[in-house]
Amino acid sequence: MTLEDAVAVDEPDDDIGLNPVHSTAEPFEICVQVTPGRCEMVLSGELDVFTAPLLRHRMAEMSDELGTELVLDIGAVTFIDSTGLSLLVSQHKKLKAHGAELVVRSPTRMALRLFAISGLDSVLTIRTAGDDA
Amino acid sequence: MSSDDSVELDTLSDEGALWRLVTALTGTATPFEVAEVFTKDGPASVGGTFANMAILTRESNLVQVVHRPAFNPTVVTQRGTFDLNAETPACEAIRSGLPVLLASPAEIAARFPALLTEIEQAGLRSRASLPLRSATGESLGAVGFGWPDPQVFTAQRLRRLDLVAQLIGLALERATGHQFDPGQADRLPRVLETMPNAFFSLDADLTITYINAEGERLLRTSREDVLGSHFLDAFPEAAGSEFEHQYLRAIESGRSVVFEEYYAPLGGWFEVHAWPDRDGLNVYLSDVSERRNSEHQQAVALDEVRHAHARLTFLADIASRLHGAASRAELYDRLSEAVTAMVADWTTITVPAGEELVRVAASHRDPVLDGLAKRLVGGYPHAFDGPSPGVVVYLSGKPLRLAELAGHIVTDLDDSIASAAYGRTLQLLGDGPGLIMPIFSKGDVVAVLTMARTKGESFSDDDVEVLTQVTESVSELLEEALHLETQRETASALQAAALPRTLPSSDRLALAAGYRAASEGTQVGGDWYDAFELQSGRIALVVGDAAGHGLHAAALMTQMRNALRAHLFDSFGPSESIAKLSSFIATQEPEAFATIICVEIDPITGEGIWASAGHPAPILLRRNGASQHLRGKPAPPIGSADPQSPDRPMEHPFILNAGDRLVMFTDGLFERRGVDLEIGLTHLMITTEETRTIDDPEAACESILRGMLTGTHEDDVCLLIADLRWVP
Repeated sequence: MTLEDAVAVDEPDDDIGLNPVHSTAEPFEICVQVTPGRCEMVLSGELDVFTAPLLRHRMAEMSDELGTELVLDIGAVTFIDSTGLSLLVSQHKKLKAHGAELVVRSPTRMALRLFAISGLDSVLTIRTAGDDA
Repeated sequence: MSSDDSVELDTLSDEGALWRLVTALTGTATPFEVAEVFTKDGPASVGGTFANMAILTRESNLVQVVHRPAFNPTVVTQRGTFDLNAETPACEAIRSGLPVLLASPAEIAARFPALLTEIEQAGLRSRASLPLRSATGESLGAVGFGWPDPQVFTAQRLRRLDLVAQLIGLALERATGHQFDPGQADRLPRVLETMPNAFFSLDADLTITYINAEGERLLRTSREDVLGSHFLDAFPEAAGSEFEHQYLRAIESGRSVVFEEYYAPLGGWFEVHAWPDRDGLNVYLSDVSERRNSEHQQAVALDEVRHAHARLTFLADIASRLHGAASRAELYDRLSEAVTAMVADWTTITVPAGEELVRVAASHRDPVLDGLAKRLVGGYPHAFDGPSPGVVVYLSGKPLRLAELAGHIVTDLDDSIASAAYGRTLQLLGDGPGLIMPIFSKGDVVAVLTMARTKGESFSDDDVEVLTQVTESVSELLEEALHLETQRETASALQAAALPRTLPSSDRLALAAGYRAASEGTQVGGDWYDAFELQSGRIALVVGDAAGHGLHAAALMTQMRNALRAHLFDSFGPSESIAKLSSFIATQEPEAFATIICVEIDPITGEGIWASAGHPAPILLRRNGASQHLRGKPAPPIGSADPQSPDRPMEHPFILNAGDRLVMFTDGLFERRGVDLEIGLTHLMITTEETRTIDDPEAACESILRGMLTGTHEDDVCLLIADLRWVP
């Protein structure tokens, strides 16, 4: 996906109650591309207790357009905490219940390790960058 | 502007130019002279750059057009003689008797394609031609105008064009002898009488020589009364006024003047154009009271808008500074800082405690004095029966303004040493106007806000009004902060209740545990540990981490801890107990997410098993050998499983030998933002290794927590240690 294709870029803001303590962190961004039956969200920054609500909000907004496959590209996500993991899991379950699939794409080494430690590698559909080719 | 590329004719039209045109026309005697004047002064009167004049010779139906060519504008030249049927704007205007308006090159091209090039070469992009008629309606010719930009011909602009056409028509009529009345030949009275604007003339001695009908009406006088009178005799109130001053200046300098002035006897504002000629001064007046009044109202309205905007910005700024305070103490701190930054030089906040007001926050604009101000916090209370102005405000519930805040307070202090120190501190913070305001919550004064300005500027009524709004918003935030405090206390209590009060102990197995709340933020997390003896004599050890923060996470944690306890106690073993918990949570709390590790150890043999749902494996520190993360595959976390077929975690066996140490923990211990996960885990491994020489598990636990939690940590942390001992 190229950025030119992006239809929306979100930056975190305060209107959904973000705690400003982590203002030093790089901004969390969600870049969305929708094609029929498929939606891609390219995430960057830290997916944590402060930014997970943004992603949840965005997914809820997009719920009609998610299609049968939602690809979350986390190649540029630098940190995931338990709230972030929890969101991935809850979205995975939600999509599965509707006959769709959440694909976590391009996890970093850190994310792969985290998925292994937490046993989520057997739950989530994880696609490394090479799988797309 | 009604269009982006059009020019606002009205703002460009020069009233002075119109009246120069009128005056110049007074001297014209032939059609050619009229054309000479019109082509010179006509364009500016309509904000244009070009004018021509077409004179119709009725007998031959020939149209003679004169203009000033662009290459030599000093001379009026005959442009040519056209048949009345020619396709030119002037001929069409004469034929139709209607204005021909060409607002843009496109319109010129559409109606007079043959002329487009010529018009554009003259630097014009819009044209207008209007017919000239005598007083009896006889066609005399046409006047043409040109502009360098496209125009929008509004009704107002058309009126202006028509007015100029009428003037030229009258002048031309007179010059050609049509309807010419020699009795009125003197100073163009005929033209001036028809003007819709007030006009009068003065001679060099300021004697009124002429006034038109509109002038009589506007100035509420009659020509019989004022003609031949000195201007100041006719209008005595103008003596010494801007009117007299400007008229004299115009006559003396020989230059025209334009000004706006209020004339009290008529109660109105006048726009005045006055220009001198060889006989004296011509004055054109228009009543602009309506515009002035509306401008004034606009200015007042604009000022109010600006003011309201500034106030809203201020309130929004304060609100953003106060938003998110997790406790009343934090809110008071933030309020004190915000008020100091924005409206005062120093600020203190006191709250009632017992029978006195106690200072809970203080700030000073100056960083050095801020340190001094902060030393007031907690000290120098004001007794309710004392004279402190803060107490007065607290008891009355009304704001209080003082001219010299520090001086006022110091005067009433007793002569104790403490009071002397307090007084000196206040004087050092700086004296000046003060404002003391009550802060209410649910109808009671719950705090007193004291503000001082050290540079002399008093607190205005407006300040009081705005700060009242601030304190009102603080009231709401206080209730919110109190709610958060209560929630946090409840969550803390739940958290504390979820942790076992005592750990089972035996000669063989020594346990120690530690819990650290997050240092950043204020929410209570969902980490817990548990340890208890089973009926079999084995020891169950549990460490868990429920995602989320606050009351909900704490409640969920308690629920999971109790459920797991029951299953383990019923001898289901770690794997089955976790599976049972997993399916229970999947149906009861579908949004929940937690990781759990469960260990059972036989304290006699040292045999153990562990199972995990998404939780990091424990570290085993061997007395003989390196420490290691126990190997084994965790099941997915609680809450990620399919409720119909919950994952059953694998049970992994291990053996604790005498002198070995098992370390269980939550991810908060090794996970850091910006720190690689492997580095965090390795750090933990090394820190654990370093406890090899520490026999006491309590001390080892403290050592690991201290080693890992340097600086701030934003997640809460649990650590549980089990040491297998030698038994003599």
